[in-house]
Amino acid sequence: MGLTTSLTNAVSGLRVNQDALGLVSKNIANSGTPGYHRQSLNVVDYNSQDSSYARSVGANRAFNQSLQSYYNRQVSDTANSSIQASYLDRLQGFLGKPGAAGSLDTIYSDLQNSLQAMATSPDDYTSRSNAVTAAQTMAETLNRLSSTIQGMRQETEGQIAANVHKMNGMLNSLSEVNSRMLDLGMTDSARASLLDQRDRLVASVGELIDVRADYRGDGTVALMTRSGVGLLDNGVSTFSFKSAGSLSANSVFDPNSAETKVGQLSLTTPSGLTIDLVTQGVLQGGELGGLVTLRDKTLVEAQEQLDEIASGLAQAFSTVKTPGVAADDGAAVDPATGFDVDISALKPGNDVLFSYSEGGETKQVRVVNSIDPVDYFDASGQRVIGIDLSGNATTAAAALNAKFNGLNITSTGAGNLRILDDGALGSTDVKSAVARSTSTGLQGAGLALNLFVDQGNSTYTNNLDSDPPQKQGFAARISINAAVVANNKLMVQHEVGGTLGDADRANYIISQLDSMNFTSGGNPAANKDKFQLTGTLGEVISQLVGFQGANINAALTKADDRQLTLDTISDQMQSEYGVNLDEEMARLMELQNAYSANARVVSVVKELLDALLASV
Amino acid sequence: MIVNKSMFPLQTGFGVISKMQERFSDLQVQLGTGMKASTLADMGRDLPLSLSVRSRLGKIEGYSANIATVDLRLSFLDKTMSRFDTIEGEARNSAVQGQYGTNNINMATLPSLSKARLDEVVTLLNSDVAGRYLFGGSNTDHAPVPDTTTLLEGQGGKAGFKAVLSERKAADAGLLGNGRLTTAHPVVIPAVPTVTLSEDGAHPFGLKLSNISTTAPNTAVTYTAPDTTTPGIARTLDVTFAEVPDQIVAGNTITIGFSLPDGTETQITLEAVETASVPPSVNEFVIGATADDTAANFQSTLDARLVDVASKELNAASNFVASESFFNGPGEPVLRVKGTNPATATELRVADGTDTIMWYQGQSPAVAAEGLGRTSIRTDAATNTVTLAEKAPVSADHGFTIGGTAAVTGNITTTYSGASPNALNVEFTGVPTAGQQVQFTLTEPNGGTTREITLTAVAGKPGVGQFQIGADASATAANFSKALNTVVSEAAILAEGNPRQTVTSQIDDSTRASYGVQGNESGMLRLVRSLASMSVETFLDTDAATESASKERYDAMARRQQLQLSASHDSERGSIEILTMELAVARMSLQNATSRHTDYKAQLDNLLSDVETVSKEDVAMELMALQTRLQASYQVTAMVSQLSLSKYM
Repeated sequence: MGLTTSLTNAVSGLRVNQDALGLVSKNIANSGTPGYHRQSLNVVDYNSQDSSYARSVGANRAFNQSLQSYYNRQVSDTANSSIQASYLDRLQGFLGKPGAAGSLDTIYSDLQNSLQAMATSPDDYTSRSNAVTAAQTMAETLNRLSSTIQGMRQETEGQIAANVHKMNGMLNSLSEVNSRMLDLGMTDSARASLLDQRDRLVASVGELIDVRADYRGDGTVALMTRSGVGLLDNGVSTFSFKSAGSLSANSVFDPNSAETKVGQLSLTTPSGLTIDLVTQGVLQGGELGGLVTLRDKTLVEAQEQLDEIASGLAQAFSTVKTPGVAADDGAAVDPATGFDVDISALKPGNDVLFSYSEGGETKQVRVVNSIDPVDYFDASGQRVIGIDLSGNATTAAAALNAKFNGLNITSTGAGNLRILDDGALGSTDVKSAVARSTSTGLQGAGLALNLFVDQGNSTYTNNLDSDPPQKQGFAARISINAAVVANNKLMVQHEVGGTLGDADRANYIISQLDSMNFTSGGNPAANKDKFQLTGTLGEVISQLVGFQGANINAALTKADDRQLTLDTISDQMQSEYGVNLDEEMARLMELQNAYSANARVVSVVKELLDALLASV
Repeated sequence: MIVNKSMFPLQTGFGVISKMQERFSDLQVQLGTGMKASTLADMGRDLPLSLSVRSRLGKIEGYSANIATVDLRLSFLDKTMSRFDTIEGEARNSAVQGQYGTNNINMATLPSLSKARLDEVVTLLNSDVAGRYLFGGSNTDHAPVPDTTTLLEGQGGKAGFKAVLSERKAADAGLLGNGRLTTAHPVVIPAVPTVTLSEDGAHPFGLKLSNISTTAPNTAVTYTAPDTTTPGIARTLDVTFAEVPDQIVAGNTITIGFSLPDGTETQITLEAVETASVPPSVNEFVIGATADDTAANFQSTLDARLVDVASKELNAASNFVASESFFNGPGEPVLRVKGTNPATATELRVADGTDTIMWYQGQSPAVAAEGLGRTSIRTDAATNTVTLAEKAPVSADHGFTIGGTAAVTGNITTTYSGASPNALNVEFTGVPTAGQQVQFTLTEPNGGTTREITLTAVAGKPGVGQFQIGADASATAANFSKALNTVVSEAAILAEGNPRQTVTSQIDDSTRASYGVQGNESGMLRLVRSLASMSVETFLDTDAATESASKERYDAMARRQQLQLSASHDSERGSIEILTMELAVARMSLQNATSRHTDYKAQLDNLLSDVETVSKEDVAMELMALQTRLQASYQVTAMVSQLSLSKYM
């Protein structure tokens, strides 16, 4: 051991201290930089025979892979919920609170009240015109909500396109980061900032799409979606989005890419394979996932519910009920009894309702005039059967008869359906039968009234056979019959030249609104994840408002919860990666002391050497 | 919300502060609006309750608006009905038999006063609330009655009441002005001392012979009474005077009774006198030298007396029967004299709007319970036949059409005559056996309901739709007639319906207030008829002759008005008193519904406020607590942020 050794030791200490000071200063300087990971110095001491000195071997960057994966996942989920919450938050503004002006339930109750007032004063111009105005407001509210919803869907497409653009840019940057990472000649601090950049990019990608990052030892990262589609490995996959242009209620997603009427989001892998992300169900999180869910599910369902209300409204006003006429098979003893139903006036989408009891249990059947041979039990427990009633009545009766064991359904001629029970066996009993057709005229065609009409003043019959079905997007097209707007006497005058004091039509419509039942959603088995609205029109509207309220509330709460989790993780990252100024300051003091001590050693050694040299 | 731009967000402490600030502004909004939630999602679990309460409240609001509207109408009707009542009383007291007033002032003023009352009644019937006419049933969009001038004088060539009345008066008076009667005292040799009085045909006009009696012994006067049982014939009677020495002596009288077209009766009494009074009296005939002379004198007195009756009693009856046919009641057509020369007319016809003013154009039932829906039931005792026939003239728009599915069974022979007016004859040839049935149908006009009526013979006490088998055919026919009357009445009552039900308004979920009133209901109808009749007569008193004639006419008119407006009609359906009561019942139900709604609304409002509104005290308390916490947090955060090592270096 000699003085030189001490000097060397002290000098090595000074160097290490300087490096450490450099890092501390960098930490302090970057204490506010987003995504900066705290760095610390690696110090190695060399022990040779006569000396032990310290040397810095690069910097350590604080990093916790499991925390990082957790963070990436939470970012995707939070982004997914937040984007949905932000859209739905706006939607609830349009729906309005119960009792608020413009809220569906308020407008409907206004319509009912104006009809009541019209029934009390059918001869009063003002009360009739109030009723027409209330109906118009109802139609316009449905139009407005529909266009809001479709506008939002349109917006999601725009946002998807923007996100796709952003995503491609980020993936390319990340790919560059990866390739630079393979350059081993870099200094540790340069590498650390590159890693910071890498983590920022991964998190940003995670915000857009659910992502699983595979951090490799060499600092590169491979990305794939949670469903396992590779986004970035040796090459970069490219997202592309083909917009569908303007979206309407009829623009719905279809798994068949040729049929789909919405924008197509696809991914092309470096090998040239193209995957449709929506059809394949790749998107499980991130903003893109949220936007697609909004576009194809949440907003579509809201639109369907509005369509249901519009459809119910039109039908409640326009449905003509033709009760069946009692009939029997003419047997002298225990005749089979039932009803003759006149089906000649039925249009596509109109139906025949009948109820019968079998073994004491009453069953409801709705036979829809449709070429689509559906057969299911709807949400209200009513059996729905699709039969073509417009064509040959005998064929229709035979087809229907095949569906029921205990009933005898025949046809006595064109336009007739005879529904009889099993007669002497006595196990079934037909209770009622009624044909429900759509009113054909404003006057002289019964009490029903085609007040709400489809585009171009055409009749709404809830036709299932057109493509798309007439109900789809009806809320956007519903309007008031121009003839009634021009002459509001038609609201009460159901016969040409009839007295205006006659409240029969108004009373009929009020009773229809109070008693006609609707069930949404078709076959519950085929639409498992959809909420089924059922009941009278008022109940359906309440259910819509209630359902949307609960749904939006759930989405907002979920977004809040996820945000909270993300905040917790961020806190944890802060403590793991972040710069603690106090700690750095303390280290600074420590380094200052060590530095001055080392300097002191150097100066002491110098004095000793000087003394030694002077004594020589 | 951008999740990712700062990987290390603000320290938790700051995050909490910003959350507290959000809560602070929420509370401020709550305090300001008083509402718990400002958005749909915020309402959370309260949403379903709020929705259902609001929908119920909306309904109540609708009903309340209805009630307010209906209440206005009912209060209006109430006022109008009490005015009708007053007018009825005034009219009843305005003309009393024998009270002509000082200088016959009553006689002079009665027509104009009646006209003024008629004016007011018509105005009241045409009264409207905000353009809605209240006295036309559900025909609320036009006035139910034309104005008085049109009613009385006609318009645009259409006959008014005066024209219809003059026709009827002419038809009743006949060419001779003696009530469509002819007297005959055949001049033959040898002379026959018989005077024959006969109707000039089988028709509904003029005086109808009903009976004859005399105080003279049957040795002095013999007579043949008119046949009043056979329908549809011109009746006749004759009086034969005995020769001297059995000739009629002075002081004996002969009385002949007549039925008048309005259903009242009158009679003339002719007294035999030795010498004619000066001036000659219309009630006396001079006993001649021979029976034939007496008969001739009797005939000439009778002729003069008939003209006298026709101009007074018959004139009044004509007037009232004309008002009855012009101012038609529910289920009855307007009737006019058929033919170009009323004085020789033999039939009535159904008039329509093409040539006659229709006095009431509001809603009216096509079949009325009154008068069995324009059918009549007659029993012919001789053949034990009960006949149900439509009333002539048949109207397409009024009354039942009888349809026969007359099956012939056992001892009952039914024959159906389909030649309008339709009739169903049920002849009992013997005692029927229990279970035998008579079936027919009654159809309402203009494609209305057809009712199948079945009457079944039973041995014991008959129920509805049954008749008791009597001891013999005649008793059975009487029972059948009674049962038939019951079922046809019931069918007619069902067909007529209740005018109150023609206008209803929903005032609660299952409560409706019924307040339809039809201007031709019996109370208003009687008022209009009698006031119109009274207002078209004039009573001259220029000299003693006209004065006494006018007084007699005045008496005849006053008696008939008394009859129409007497308080005995107060209890009949549709009278002003019954109407007032029924409307009061409707109003009562309105009031009950109102108080129910008020109570329920208060409860619901409370419920809603529990769900939707915040208590200001709670919010204020929370605000204060939050303020304290926030201040403390600020303070601590500020202090902590000062605590940095770098400060101490």
